[in-house]
Amino acid sequence: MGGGMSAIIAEFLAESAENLDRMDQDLVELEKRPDDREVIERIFRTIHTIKGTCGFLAFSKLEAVTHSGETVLAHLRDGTLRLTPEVTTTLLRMVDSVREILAHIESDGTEGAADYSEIARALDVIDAEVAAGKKKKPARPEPERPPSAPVPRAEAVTPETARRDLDRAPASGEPTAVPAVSESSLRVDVTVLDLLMNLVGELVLARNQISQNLAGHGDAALAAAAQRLDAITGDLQEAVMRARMQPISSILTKLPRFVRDLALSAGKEVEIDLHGEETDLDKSVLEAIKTSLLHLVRNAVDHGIEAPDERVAKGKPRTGIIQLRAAHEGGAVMIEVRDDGAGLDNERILERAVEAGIVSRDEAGALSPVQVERLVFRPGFSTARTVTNVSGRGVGLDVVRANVESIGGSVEMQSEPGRSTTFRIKIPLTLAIVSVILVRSAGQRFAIPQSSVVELVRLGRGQDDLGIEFVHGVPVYRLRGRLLPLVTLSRELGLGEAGAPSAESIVVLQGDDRQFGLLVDSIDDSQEIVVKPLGPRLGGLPFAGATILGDGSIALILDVLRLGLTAGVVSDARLHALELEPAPPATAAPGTTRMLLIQGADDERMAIDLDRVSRLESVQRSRIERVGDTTVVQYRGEILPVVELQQALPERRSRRRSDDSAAPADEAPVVICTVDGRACGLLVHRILDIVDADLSDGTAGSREGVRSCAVIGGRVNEIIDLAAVLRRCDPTFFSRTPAREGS
Amino acid sequence: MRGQQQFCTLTAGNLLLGIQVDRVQEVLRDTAITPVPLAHPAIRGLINLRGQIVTAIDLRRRLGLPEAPADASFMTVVLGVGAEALALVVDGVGDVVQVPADSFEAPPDTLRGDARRMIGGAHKLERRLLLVLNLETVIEPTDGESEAS
Repeated sequence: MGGGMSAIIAEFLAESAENLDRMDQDLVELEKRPDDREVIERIFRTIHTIKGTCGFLAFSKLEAVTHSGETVLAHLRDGTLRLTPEVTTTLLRMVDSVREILAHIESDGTEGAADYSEIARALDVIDAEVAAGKKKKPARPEPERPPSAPVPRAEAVTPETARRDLDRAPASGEPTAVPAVSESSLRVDVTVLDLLMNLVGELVLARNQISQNLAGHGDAALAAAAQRLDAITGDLQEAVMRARMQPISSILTKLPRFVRDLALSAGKEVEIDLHGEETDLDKSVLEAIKTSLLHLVRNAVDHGIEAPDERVAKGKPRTGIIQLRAAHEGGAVMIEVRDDGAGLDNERILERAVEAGIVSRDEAGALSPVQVERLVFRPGFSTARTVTNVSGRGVGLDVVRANVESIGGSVEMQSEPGRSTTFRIKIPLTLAIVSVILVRSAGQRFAIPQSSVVELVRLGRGQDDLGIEFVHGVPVYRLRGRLLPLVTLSRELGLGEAGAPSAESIVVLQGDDRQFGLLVDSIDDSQEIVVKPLGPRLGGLPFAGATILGDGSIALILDVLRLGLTAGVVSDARLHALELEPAPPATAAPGTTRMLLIQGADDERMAIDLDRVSRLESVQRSRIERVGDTTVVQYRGEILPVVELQQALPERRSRRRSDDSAAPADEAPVVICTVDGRACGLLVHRILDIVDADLSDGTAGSREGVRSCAVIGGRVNEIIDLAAVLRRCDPTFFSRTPAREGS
Repeated sequence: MRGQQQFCTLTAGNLLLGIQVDRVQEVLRDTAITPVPLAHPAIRGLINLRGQIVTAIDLRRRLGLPEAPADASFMTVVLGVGAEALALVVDGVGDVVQVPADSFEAPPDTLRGDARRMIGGAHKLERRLLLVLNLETVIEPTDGESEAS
């Protein structure tokens, strides 16, 4: 009997917890639309079910509280009571009390010693008020039933009571809120799912071995069976993955209540708008981002949304709105938290950052707005002082960032001063499966999570001028004008000797706020892998886990941040705040222009304003056709005029190479530019790089088609004047209309 | 019978060692071991045991014995120890022997260094001495120890 009873109680607790969460949401919803019968009915049924069940289980305190609550709810349902904020608050307090009692029951099986008569009294007061007011109205049947007696009442059947009884009928025993769901779903222990997951992983490996061994045989029947096995295994893997998924609504449902309480205590009017609640996420990911999400929402209420009067003065609606959207995007989940509040005050942020010693005053002046906004994610930015200051933002955002990044996600922020602040969290769907690139170093394979890889650079042999340089004995790589510190993986792991002559590729990694390059022997492949944890004996090493590859071998997964820390290229972000750019900015750094560097046939350097460049392509010279005076190439179904840059510029030296020697390769890089809305291809000798260059101290160009000369990366570059080049080679370029091109 | 104990015999270097039979989950021959850079030297690497990743401890290194020749064959004893998957890399695995509990003696004084802590005692067999491994010490996390091998 005891076991059966505790199972019933466990069921009751789990069910009630879910129902209460929804009830929080419903009550807040009801405040907005007090006449929504459906919502009232749902709330009523929830409380009624709890009351009925606890009568049966002899939880008398719980019964008393829910009984009083039910009475008030019945008034609401019957329209004899209007919902006021006071009533809502009292009802929410009742929900809290119920939750408290349930928690107590869960921990030790008793209702606990706390006294809940106060909340019951508060509810009864509302009931009494209604009853007093009702005397003046036409008499109605008493809407309350005897406590804890889910027995049909004998009373005169009027249309009114009949309808009500119909509503109530299903509630008398079973929860009916979502019958369809409760019948088609069941609770499964997470460990069972984990076990399933492991078994499927093994199955995948066994399948791989079968298909590898089968490759040599010619048995068609066996091959067909293997193919089926292959398909089924894939489906099974996906299904098990899905079983671990939970809709994000399981954490979002708490938010309306959370926002309401926060707003009330802050004296603000805030509503939260939820979108994409059905978005599925792995349970472990959900758990990991829960606090971060609450944090962002709290931030939005505390610091983002202004006080009602302030909002009205600014011409905004009194009630601030927080929009929370969740959606799948590729293999990841995007969660956006946006408030229509005051936005970020960049000056205030800078001031705080300087006060907190995150940046020096000099550095502060040189920061771009994007960089300033990123400061709020710095550790140490949050202090008690900012909490009280409405204009400042960023309480503990570094914690949010750390949490999100620890599960391979990222967080960014956008702000429109005076109008809105938007936080975007991007997180992987699951922690168990990660997309990685496989690299090889000293003969061993390692996996690097894609989320920390910024880009891959192949070290071209024979391009010595673009190779690795040494600054104070530390290897660095010049990547688009920035110095990227390099770490040799084999050396860092004690696998090989310094110098790494075999290194062929650089994996540019993002560790904390800094980027660094990892020198590896080769980059093999990208793969989705199943992460397996390493035992405690292997803690403290720069590995985040291990995985089993298709051939059954094991690859260690690199922990990028730790690797950077041990190599000394990533250090405490506070000390090395801004030595390197935090991230490759989408636009050029202030005072510089982003330029495309080109190498001419005689090793001369030229640069084109990247704003004018739409694409980089390569064409076969044999595909270049002559049409009248111009050369063209067919490009994406259109005819694109192309110009040989070398020819378009006036000759500088008599010893210019002849055309055939300048174009030994059939493939030629083409820079597709747009000038005055028209596309044109520029055939160049070789494309070198993209850099941010300061062109302010350049000298005037020495030949036609060259706007100026400037020093970029230690070399003199001719800055091409695209319009002049095009005019020179085809004087009619700007007068022609695009339509004539095709003729 | 209370007086009898069963040991699985292992060899490492010139030692004959024993571990309680019920601690052995399975024995593998010449498995692929993926080394873990920077790990404690006694950790030989990781083994793929049917999809489970098992940490392999090199018993020779753990006992401070000389390294086995690089091309020597080895065997891996997967241990059934708690939640963590562990294995011992040994030179070879022999028979299961049954010994009377009363033949147990303190470890011989000739044992020194690391081996001394790892061995709980010895049973006299007919021709050889069976050293009983103190498994808990052998597999205890090795973080704090010296890196000397």
